[in-house]
Amino acid sequence: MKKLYYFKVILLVALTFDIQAQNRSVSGIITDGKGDAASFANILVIQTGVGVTANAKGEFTIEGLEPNTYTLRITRVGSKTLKKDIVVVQGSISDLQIALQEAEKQLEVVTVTATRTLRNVEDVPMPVNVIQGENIEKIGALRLNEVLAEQVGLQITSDHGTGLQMQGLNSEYILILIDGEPVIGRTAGTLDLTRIAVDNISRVEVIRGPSSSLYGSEAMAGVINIITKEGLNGFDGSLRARYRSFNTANLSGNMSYRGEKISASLFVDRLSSDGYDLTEESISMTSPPYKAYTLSPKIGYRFSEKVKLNLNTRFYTETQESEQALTLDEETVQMDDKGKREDWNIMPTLEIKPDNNHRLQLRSYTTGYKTETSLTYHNDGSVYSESYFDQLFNRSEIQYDWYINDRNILTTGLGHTIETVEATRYEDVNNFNANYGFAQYQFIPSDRFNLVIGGRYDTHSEYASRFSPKLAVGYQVSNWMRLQASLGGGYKAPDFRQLLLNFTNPTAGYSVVGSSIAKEQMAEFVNAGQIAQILIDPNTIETIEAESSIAYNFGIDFTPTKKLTVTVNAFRNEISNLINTAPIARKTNGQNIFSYFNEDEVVTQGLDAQLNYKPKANLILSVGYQYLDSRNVEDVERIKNGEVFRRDPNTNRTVVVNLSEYGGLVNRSRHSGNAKIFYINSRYKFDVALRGIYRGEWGLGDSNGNGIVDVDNELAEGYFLLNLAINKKLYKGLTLEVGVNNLLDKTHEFEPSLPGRILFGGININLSEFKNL
Amino acid sequence: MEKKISIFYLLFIIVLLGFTSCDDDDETAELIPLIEETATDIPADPNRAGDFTFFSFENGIVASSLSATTSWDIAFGGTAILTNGGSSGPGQGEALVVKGIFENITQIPDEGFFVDTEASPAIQGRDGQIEDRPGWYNYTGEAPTGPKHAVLTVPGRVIIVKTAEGNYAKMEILSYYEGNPNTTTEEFENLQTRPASRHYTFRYVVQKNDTKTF
Repeated sequence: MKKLYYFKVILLVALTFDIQAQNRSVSGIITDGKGDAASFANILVIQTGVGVTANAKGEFTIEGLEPNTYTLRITRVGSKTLKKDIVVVQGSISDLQIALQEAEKQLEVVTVTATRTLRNVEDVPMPVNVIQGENIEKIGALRLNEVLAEQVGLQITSDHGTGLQMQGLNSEYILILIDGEPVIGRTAGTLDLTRIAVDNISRVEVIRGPSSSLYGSEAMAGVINIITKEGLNGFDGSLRARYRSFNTANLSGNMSYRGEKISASLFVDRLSSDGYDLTEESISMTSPPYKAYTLSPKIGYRFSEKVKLNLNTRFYTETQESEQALTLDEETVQMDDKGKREDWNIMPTLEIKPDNNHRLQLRSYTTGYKTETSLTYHNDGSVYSESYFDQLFNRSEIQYDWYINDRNILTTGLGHTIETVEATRYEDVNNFNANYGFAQYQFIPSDRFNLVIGGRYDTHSEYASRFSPKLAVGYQVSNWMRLQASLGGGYKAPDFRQLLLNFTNPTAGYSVVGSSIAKEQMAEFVNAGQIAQILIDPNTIETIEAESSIAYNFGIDFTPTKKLTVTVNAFRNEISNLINTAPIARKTNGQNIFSYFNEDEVVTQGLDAQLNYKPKANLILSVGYQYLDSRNVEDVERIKNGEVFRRDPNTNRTVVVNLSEYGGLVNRSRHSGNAKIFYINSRYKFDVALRGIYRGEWGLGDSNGNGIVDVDNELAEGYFLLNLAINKKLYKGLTLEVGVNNLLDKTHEFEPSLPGRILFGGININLSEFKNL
Repeated sequence: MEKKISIFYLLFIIVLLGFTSCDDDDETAELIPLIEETATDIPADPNRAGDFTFFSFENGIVASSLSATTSWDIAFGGTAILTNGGSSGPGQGEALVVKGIFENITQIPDEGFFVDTEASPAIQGRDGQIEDRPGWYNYTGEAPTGPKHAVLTVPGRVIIVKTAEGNYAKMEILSYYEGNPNTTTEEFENLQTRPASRHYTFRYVVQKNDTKTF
C-alpha cells in the first residue's frame, strides 16, 4: 500500500498567467470506478486542512489556494481512498478529472455505531458485525427478528414478545437503535423485534460488548443499530409484495428523491397475518392475527456544503384480535381479546461541518410508545378489563467530532432526556429527568495500532449516578492477523416496573410495589390494616441502583488467504446488582408484598467464532459457533459449599448437587451456531441462500425445588432449522423470490415462535433499474 | 391402625471416642443404635374436613381423642404440621426447620426452636416466605414447566422436633402425595392421574437419650 506514495502523478494544467488573480481555485469532477459521477466524495487539501464535498454530479471547487504543490485526499464510501498531487502555479485549475477505484468488497464495510463516527469496521478495535441490506433482501426476511436469528451469537427468545439474547444477556440489556436513536417500548424488558420492518434497511450494525460509554443505559450486552436507506441521486424507488403461509401478506414501498439541495424519501409497509395456533386444546392462539403498518417519511435539506438539516420520522401501528377463555366463578367465559400498539418518532438533526476537521451535530429526538388492551365478553361486548401504557421520551443532544488529523479523533457530547410514563398499573403521570456527557478519543499512533478510550457520565432523577468507561485496543500483527481487546463498563437503569409498579394480583392476592414508591405504599397497606408482618422495614429500603457490568472482549481475526477469514472473539461479562424481587411484608391474607432489590451477581462468558470461505467469486460458505457459559455467582457458591440439594426422583431422598450438574442461567444454550451457503448464478441471474441454524439445549427453570437447573427434565431439547430462499431476476429491475423457512417443519414445545414450515413467494420491483431500460 | 413402618437400619452408632467434646457423663449413657424409620402415607385430612392426624414417633398414629394429651408429637392437617406444645398441645413440643442432608444433621441446636402459636406454627410450611426461616414445601402454582398446583417437598430440609416428652427427633418429609410418587413423571404432572395429596411420607430418627446428637 505504501507504494501509493510513489504513484504521485503531477498534473500541470491551464497555465494561464493571470497575475491579478487572488482567488486561485481548483475545480473538477470525480468519477467512480464505473465512470459514473462519484457524488458527495470528500476532498481534503492535506497541506491546508481545507476540505470540500463534491455535489451530486461529482463536481467540486476548492477556493483560495496560493501557488504551491498540494496533495488532495479523496475519500468516499465504497471507493478506495485516493491521494493526488497538484501544482497550483498562477491561475486556477478548472478541469481536473479524478477517477476513483471501487473499493474491494471487504473494505466497504463501515460502522458508525462503534465510535459514533463513520469508520471502517477494520479500524475499530471492538467486535462489530455489519449485516448488509442486500443480504437481508436475499433471505426474504420480513422483520428484524428473522435477520438477527441467523447471526452467530445472537439468540432469538420468546418472552413477552420476540426478544434477543447477546453474549448470554437478555433483551433488556441490548440497546436497539434506529439511525442512532433508541427505540422505546419494552414489555417485561423485551423490545419486540417484530415491530421493525426491514425493507428500508441499508445495514444493521451489531456491536458486542458494553457500549454504555457512548450510549448509556441498556447498552450492556451490546448495541444493534439499524441504519435506514438513503435514496440514490434523482428519483428512485422500489416496490415489494410478498405472501407467506398462515395468510401472511406484506406490501412495502420505498420512494426517494435526492437532489443537490433537497432529499426526501418515504417508506410504507403493511404486514398482516392470520397467526397460528400450536396448542389445540386452548382457545387462545399462540400467535394471534394481526395487522401492522409502518410509515417512515424522511426529508433533508443542504443549506450549503457545510450545513445540513435532516428530519427523520417513523410511525408504527399494530392491532391484534383474538379470543380467550377465562374461568370466572368456575365457569368458562369466552372473551374477545383486543390489543393495539403504536410507536412513533420525530428526529430532526442539524449537521454543521465548517471543514473536514470539525463536525457538530444537534439532535432532538422525541418518541412515544403506547399500548391498549381490552378483554370484552364475547356475548354482549361489555368490558371485562382494560389497560393501557403510555410512554414518552425526549432527548436533546449535541455531539462534536474533531478530526484533529488522520491519527487523532476526538468526540464529545452532552445530552438531556425527559421521560414520562402513564399506565394502568402506575400511579399518576411519572416524570424522569436525566443528563449525561460523554467523551471519546480515537488514537491511531501507527498503521498497525489503534486505540479508543472513552467514558460517559449519567445522572438520573430516580437512581444513583453512573460512570461508564471504555478502553479498546487493536493491533495488526501481520497482513493476515489482527488482534483486538476491549474493556468496558455497561449499565442498565431500573425500569418503570422496578421503580413504579403498584400492582395487586386480583386472583392470587399478592402485591408488587416499585422501589420508589415502596415506602408510601407500605404506609397505605399498614393504614388499611392489611399487614400481618413486616419482613423488611420500608425505611431501610435503599434507593435502587442501576444494574452494572464490567466486560472483557478479546478477538483475533485471521485472513490466511483472500478466500478465507476466521474471526474469534472471547467474552466475559461480570454483572452485579441484578434486580430481583424479594418479599417485604406478609399480608393478612397470607400473601406477600414484594419489592425490587439489587441482589444477584451473574457471569456470562464464552466464545464466538465465525469462518467465511469464498472458494469462488459467486460462492460463499460460512460457519458460526458460540460457546456460552452462564452462571449465578451465588448459586455456584452455594453448590460449592454443598448447600444445594435435590431429590432422587425414585426414592424422594435428598442428594447434594455437584457443580458439574449445574445448568447455568435459564434460557441460555451452551452451544449454538449456524452454517450458510450463498450462491450466485450470473448466467441465469439467480441466487440461492441456504442457512442452517442450530440452538443447543437450554434450561427452562427449576422443577425439583432447589432453585437451579440441574437435571435433564429441566432442559429443553435443542433444535435445528433450515431456511432456503431463491431470488431470480426476471428482467432488469424485476426480481422474483421464493423460499421455505423452517424447511424441516420443526415445532418446539418451548419455542412458540416456530410454527412449522413456512412457504413464501414474492416480487420485487426496483424502479431505478427499470428507468434505465 | 394403617401404619406401615419400613425400617432402615442406618447405623449411627455413637463412637464415644469420636466425640472428644463429650462430657464424662456420656460414658454412662446407654449405647442405643439410632434407628431410622419411615412413616408412609400418613393421611393429613384427605377429605378436607378440617381434621388432623396425630402422630407419635414411638407409637405411630394416635387416636384424635388423645389430642389434649402428651401422647402425640406432631399432627398433620393439609400442609399444616403442628407440634405438641404452645398453642397446639400440653407437651414440650418445639420445632426448627434446618437446611442440610438428613444423614449429616447430627447436632441438635441449643437454641432457635419455635413454638406453635395461633398466628404461626413452629414448623414453617411454605419455603421462601420468611427470611431465615426455611420451609419444607414449595407450591408450584401456574409454573411454566413441571407439575402445576403441586406441593413439592423442598430437598435439603430437615425438621428437628422436640417431642411432647422432651426428646428430640429429626425428620425429612419425602412426599405429600399418596404412595410417595416420583413427581417428575407425566403421570404426576397430569392432574387427572396425579396421586391423592395430603398423604405424608417421611423418614425420622428419634434420640431418646439426653444427648444433643443424632
